[in-house]
Parts: sequence; structure tokens; C-alpha cells
Amino acid sequence: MKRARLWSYMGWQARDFAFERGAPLLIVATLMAFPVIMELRKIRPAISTTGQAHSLVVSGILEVLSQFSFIAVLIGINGIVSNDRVRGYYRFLFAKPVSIPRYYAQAFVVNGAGLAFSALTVMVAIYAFGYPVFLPRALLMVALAYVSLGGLGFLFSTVARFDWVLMGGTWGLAQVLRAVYPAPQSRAGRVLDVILPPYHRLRDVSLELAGGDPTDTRTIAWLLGWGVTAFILGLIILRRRPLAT
Amino acid sequence: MDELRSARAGADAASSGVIAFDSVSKTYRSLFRPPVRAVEEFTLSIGRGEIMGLAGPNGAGKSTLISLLLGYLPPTSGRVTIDETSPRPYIERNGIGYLSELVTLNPQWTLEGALERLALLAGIAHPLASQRVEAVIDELGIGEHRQKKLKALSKGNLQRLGLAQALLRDEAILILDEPTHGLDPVWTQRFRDLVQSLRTPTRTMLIASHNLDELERLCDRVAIIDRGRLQRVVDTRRPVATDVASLYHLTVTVGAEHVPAIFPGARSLGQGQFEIEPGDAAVLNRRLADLLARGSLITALIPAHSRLEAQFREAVRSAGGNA
Repeated sequence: MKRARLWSYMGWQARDFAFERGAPLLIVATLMAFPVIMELRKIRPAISTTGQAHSLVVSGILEVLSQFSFIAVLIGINGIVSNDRVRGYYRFLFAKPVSIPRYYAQAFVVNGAGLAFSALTVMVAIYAFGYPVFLPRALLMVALAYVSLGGLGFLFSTVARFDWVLMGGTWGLAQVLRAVYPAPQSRAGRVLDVILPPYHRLRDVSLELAGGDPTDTRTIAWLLGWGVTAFILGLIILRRRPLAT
Repeated sequence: MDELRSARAGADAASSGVIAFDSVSKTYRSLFRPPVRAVEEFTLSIGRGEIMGLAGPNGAGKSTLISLLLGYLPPTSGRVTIDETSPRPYIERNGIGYLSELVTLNPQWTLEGALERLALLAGIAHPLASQRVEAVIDELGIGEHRQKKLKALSKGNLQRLGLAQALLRDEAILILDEPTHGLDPVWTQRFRDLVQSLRTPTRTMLIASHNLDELERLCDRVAIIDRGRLQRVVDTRRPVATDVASLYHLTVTVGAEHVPAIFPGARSLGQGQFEIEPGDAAVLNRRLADLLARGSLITALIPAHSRLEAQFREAVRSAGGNA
């Protein structure tokens, strides 16, 4: 019996992440961070001594990081499985003694680490060039977004060619249904509230988490549960469903 | 009868084969298109140490069979096994050497990087992986391209890379789909030598190809498939002394005018060359003797088609007739 050296292969997966997703992440990071940094540089002398202004600046930075983490997750997870299937790369990779679910589970972890690194880079850039505040708790926000949203993206990537369309469609449909059937008012709304992905709560909870405020642990568990469940379902599908179509 | 005998021989061997297709069918279904039956009731066994060829016209079902064997597709009915195990569990435990018709790897990878990655996935530990990569690069003569991205490689070099990665480890099973596709004549010959050198009592090989001459040279048996069905299995190692081809190309440099009289129905191809239909071996020899007795000088007598090609044509023709 000879098994693939997947642990050693992690370096190559990290390299793939950097080469394939690094450029779009860099562009998004620059587009989002650059105006913030320029604005912070302008107002920094005036606000550095004022407590309330400082809090406002921190909230603003967290808001930007929250938006960045959301977009970064979409970039980081898109096509994680489906690209290999559509392009036929799987034919060579999995003729080797490789466990397909393990291979992609590892890719999920590597991409998550890559996203954390990119968020850290944005934070360091803001700290160094914009405003001297470093917010390591913002990494928790990225992790929460990655596990909850990324888990669903992973599941979609195992079953569909255009996983980003499904991702966007699910998000949009959930928003519409929640608006049409508000949870407390109708019975349908209460049922839908449990069934639909709870991403409408992601932003608020993320900001609470990153800001060090008291957090709604039940909602965090709900978000993480959705992501982890979807991720595990994706692994089961990879184990049971053949890769060719 | 021949077909029946061959198919039965394949079915009999199924019980003892390393690779076994047992009444395998595969139908592709789609929401918007009618179902396509790619493989039907396919039974074949490939023994340990055997080199089996797989021949068939385009769309015959060869690629589907290989995808079934790699576990990339599930059969609609029947069973595919490798060493009495389903394909995926076998491959995840042992791996196989596989070369696909199209070398589908990330075009941004370098040749050397691709081999290093695939060596790790093949389960080769780090220092040894580099040595194996060097060895296969050397063996396939692709050293000068090692730093090139795959998108910059020619078809032939990509094919050599595909072969190189299949040979990274000493695999017990090798599946080669159109292995000489895109190779120049020198490398085609080297590939044939390579396959012969890989022949061991424990290594089983399946080679799918359109090149019947190649299959006849390399394989112990060749399965001919058409319209998803196994048409016949040709034993290419069987003694050929009693076989007579149905058509020959006869070249006569002196006394060519006697040929039409001695071989009724001979078709002139020009410059003293004729296509003749000899009947059986005794008739062929008697007529050749007549020709020589009349003072003709025969310089060549070559079967118009190889034995496998003749069988292939017949199998495909009869499958067409049955369809």
C-alpha cells in the first residue's frame, strides 16, 4: 500500500492559491484599502487624540475588513473542486494513490490560510500607512466568514460547474424569502428562518466578534454549523460521486 | 463462431483477471438529450502480466471504458474490478500508471514542477521523488524543457511528460490511452521499446490506440470494441503459419503481364504492383509457382492488411451490419 504524500503536497497547493487567486485578491485589497488609507492619512493628525473619533475610525476599518473578507471568501473558494473537474485535471491527479476528499479538504484549509494571510496583509498596510491601529481580532471575522460561507461554496463546487452562480443565487434567494416572509410575523417565515442560510447575520456578528463586543454565540454557532455541515456534505459527495460527467 | 469463441475466452478469463469488466454497461443520461448507450454488456478480463490492447473506431466506447476502470464514472450496470476490488479503493491504496489521450494538467505548471507534484501524489518520499523525477526526465528526453510551462510545450513533449508521470513509480497496472498520439517516429519506436522493457510477469497493461500495427506489435491480445460492445478478442501471439490474408500486394518486376492470367481478378496498382485475392494457402502457392514458371520475377508479396487490421475491419463491418 502506497499513499500520496499529501502533507508535503500542501506547499504546492499554497503555491496554486497564490498564483491563481493572489492577483484577484491583491486587486480587491488594493481597491478597498487604498482609499481608506489615503483618507486615514489625511485625518490622522486630527483624530489621534480623540477617544470617540478613534472608535469611529476603528469601526470604519472593521467595516472595510468585513467587506473585504466577504469578497475574499468568494474569490478564495470559487472553483475549488469544479475547476479541476471542468478542466479535466483530476484525471492525472487521482490516478495516483490519493484520497479525493482528503485532497480537497486540505485545499480548503490551505485556501483559508491564504485568505487569512491576505487579510493580515491589508491590516498591516492600514497600520503602516494609514492609521496606527492593529486589529488581530479581525482575523476571527475572516475565519467566521470563510467557514460559514466557504463551507457552502465548497459544497456547491463539488456538485456544480458554476458554483459562484449557485452561491450568488442562494444568497439572493435567501434575502428575498426573508424579506417576503419575515420570521416573527408568519409561520412560513419562522420555518424559513431555520432552513435558509443565516448569512444575513454574518456582517453584524462578524463586526461584534472583531470589535471585541459581547457576541451572540448562538448565531455564531448557527453560522459555523451551516458552513461545517455543508463542508462535510461536500466531502461525502466527493467520496461517493464520480468526478467525470 | 470465431467471435463467439473469442468473447467466451474473454469471459472465461474474467474470473482470473487482475482487471475485470463483468457485463458492464454505461448509459449517459441528460435532461435535455436522449440517453446515449456508450458501453453495453461488456465483459473482458485482463490477466496479471498481460498486455491488452483496446481498439475501436472513434466513439466506440474506449474512453468510457477507461473512465470506468479509473472509477471516474460509475457503470450503469455490471461491475468493474481491479484485483477484485472496486477501482477507486484500489487506486487510492495502490495507484496506477495512467496516461490519458489529452495531457490535462494545469498549463501554468512547469514540466519539472508537474512531475515533482505528481511524484508526491504517487507516494514517493522527498529525496527519492527528486531522483525519480530526474530519472523519468532523462528516460523520456525532456530535460531541456524542464523549466518550461506546460502551455509552452509541443503536443509531442506533452505526451512524453504524460508518459513520464505514468512511469514515476513502479506501478503494477499501467493504462495508456493513445500513448503515441503526437509522438514523432523516433519516439514512437522508443515508446515501443519502453513498453517491451516494462513487460514483467506482475505488471498488467492496457493500451488503447487507433494504431493497429502498434497494438499488434505490443499486445498479447487486442479487444476490438464497436458501438459500445466487445466485438472480438484477437490473440496476437497465436502462431500465424496457417493464416492467409484475404488480400495481398504482389510486386513483379519482370513478366508482370502474366499476373492477370494467373490471378483472375487481380487489380493493377501500377508499376508492376497488383492487389490479389489468393483464396487459400495452397492456391496461392500454386499460382505463385505458375508465375515463376513463366519467368516472372517476384520482388514482394505483402498482406494488404495486417491480421489484426483484417479482423478489425471484419468486426466493425459485422457490428455495422448488426446495428
